[in-house]
Amino acid sequence: MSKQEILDKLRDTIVNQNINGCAEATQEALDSGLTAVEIINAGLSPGMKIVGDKFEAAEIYLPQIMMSAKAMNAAMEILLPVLEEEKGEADEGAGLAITYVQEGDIHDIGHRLVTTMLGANGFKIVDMGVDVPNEKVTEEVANNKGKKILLVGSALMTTSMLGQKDTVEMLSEEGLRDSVKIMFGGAPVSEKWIEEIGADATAENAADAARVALNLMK
Amino acid sequence: MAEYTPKERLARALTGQPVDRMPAISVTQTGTVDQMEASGAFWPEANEDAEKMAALAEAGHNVVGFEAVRVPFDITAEAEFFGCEIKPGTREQQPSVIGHVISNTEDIEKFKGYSLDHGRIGVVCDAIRILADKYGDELPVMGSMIGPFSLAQHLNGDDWFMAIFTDEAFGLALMEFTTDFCVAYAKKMVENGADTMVIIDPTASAQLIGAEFYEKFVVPYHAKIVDAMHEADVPVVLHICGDTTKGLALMESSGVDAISVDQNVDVATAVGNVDKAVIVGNLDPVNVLWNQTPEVVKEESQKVLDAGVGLLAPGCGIVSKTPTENLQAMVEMAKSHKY
Repeated sequence: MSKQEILDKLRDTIVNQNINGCAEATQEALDSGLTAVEIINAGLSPGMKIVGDKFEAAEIYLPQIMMSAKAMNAAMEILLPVLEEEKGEADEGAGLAITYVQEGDIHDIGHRLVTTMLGANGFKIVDMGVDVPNEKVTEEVANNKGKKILLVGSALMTTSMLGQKDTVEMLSEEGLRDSVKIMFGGAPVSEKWIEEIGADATAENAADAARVALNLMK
Repeated sequence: MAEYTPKERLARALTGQPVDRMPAISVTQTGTVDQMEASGAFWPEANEDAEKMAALAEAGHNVVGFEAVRVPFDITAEAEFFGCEIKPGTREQQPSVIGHVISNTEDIEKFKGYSLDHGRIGVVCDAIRILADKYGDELPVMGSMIGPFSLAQHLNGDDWFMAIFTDEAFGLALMEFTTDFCVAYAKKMVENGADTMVIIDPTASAQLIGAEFYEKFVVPYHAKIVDAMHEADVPVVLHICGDTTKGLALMESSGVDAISVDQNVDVATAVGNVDKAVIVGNLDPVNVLWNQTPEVVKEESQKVLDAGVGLLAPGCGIVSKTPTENLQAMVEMAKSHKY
């Protein structure tokens, strides 16, 4: 197979939600000499981009997206250790994305998709999981102070969204607000809300989130 | 035109019969901190004790002025009934489901043969009984429960969204199971005095899963609940979160009498997208009802009324810190609206 054929195959396994196929294609690509960065940037990410576009166009829905994300994760499991070796410590890539779901909320579909998309777009990821108290978030930011940090919080419920305001306040009180860019997402989150609580950005969906995140970190 | 009791007025409004004016109600959760302080019935106790639950529901009528009483205030009692791990609520926050108990068809079998007599769903029924005894002649008594699709997601976890794609037999079996439960639970609420049923099925959104999956995994199951309720002359309101604009016709095809839409939906478009279902909504619970003044609430209410809404109401559950005067402004706007 030519390099382009290998990349196309990677892309197609993502688009076709072929979880096992995606892991296999990733291993084959590595064996044939492609770097992890090439595999992600020229194979898998274009696949996720197509998936994102199809979702925006209402051609596919959450079930298919979650399968594609699972395929992506299967590939990333293989690639992450390789990536660490390729990159070395000095390279920050797009930045460090600390992702989490607000305290009181355990809806992690959006969170998982966004985390996957950010990882696919060159962010190093610290995934704090669901139901994360603001104290923990602040602590994680403090521990990484000095790096290019993007904080990415999600909340599906109106009630947990309210905690996002406290997140920003707590970071300000701890003198950490200028150390991070902050994105919040989730069904109830609006531009107006982002403005009101002094965060930096929100996005329409996971594909959009990756675009917004890259712009924000420029 | 004749004067109606609030109970008659809502029943007529939901079933397309003429009324003197719009009823002032909320089909989504009504509990707020103001009402808790006025009634002495606070979350989380008001989620677990029938007397307190009824007292807080009653505050929606006595403190705010809603022309109905409605229980419960959350949508976790059903998953809790089947043993899902629950993160307890606080004074300001509702409990949430954090653990899941069904991962395959064999698991479903283990849960069959349950009795409805235990758990918090019994508390809800007792609260309905208290409210019906006190207000049943005058006010609508609304019972609310989670819908079968979202209950399936609570039982199965977020993998549920993939299960309907990868394992149809399991997906349909779980929908049968949750629907049988919902029908039995709804009937029990009605036996205890509920006269209006609200199905809250937040994740059963055609926007999330697409029309094909919605038609297969949601419509027939909502229809079963609706049929059971209509046999008892109980109208059904369906609330689904998000931008449901394109899914409204499908939602209506299950036979529901009214559809509650959230603030992402344009009401005029929604009214045009249904045949006869009453559109309920859709003031933004955060950016309008909680964070604005009564004047702004009135302005926004007027827009929704002008767009042709069937029942003016919050677009989703009321935020617990919402000021009473804002809710009263909405109530006043509804009451002074003639169709």
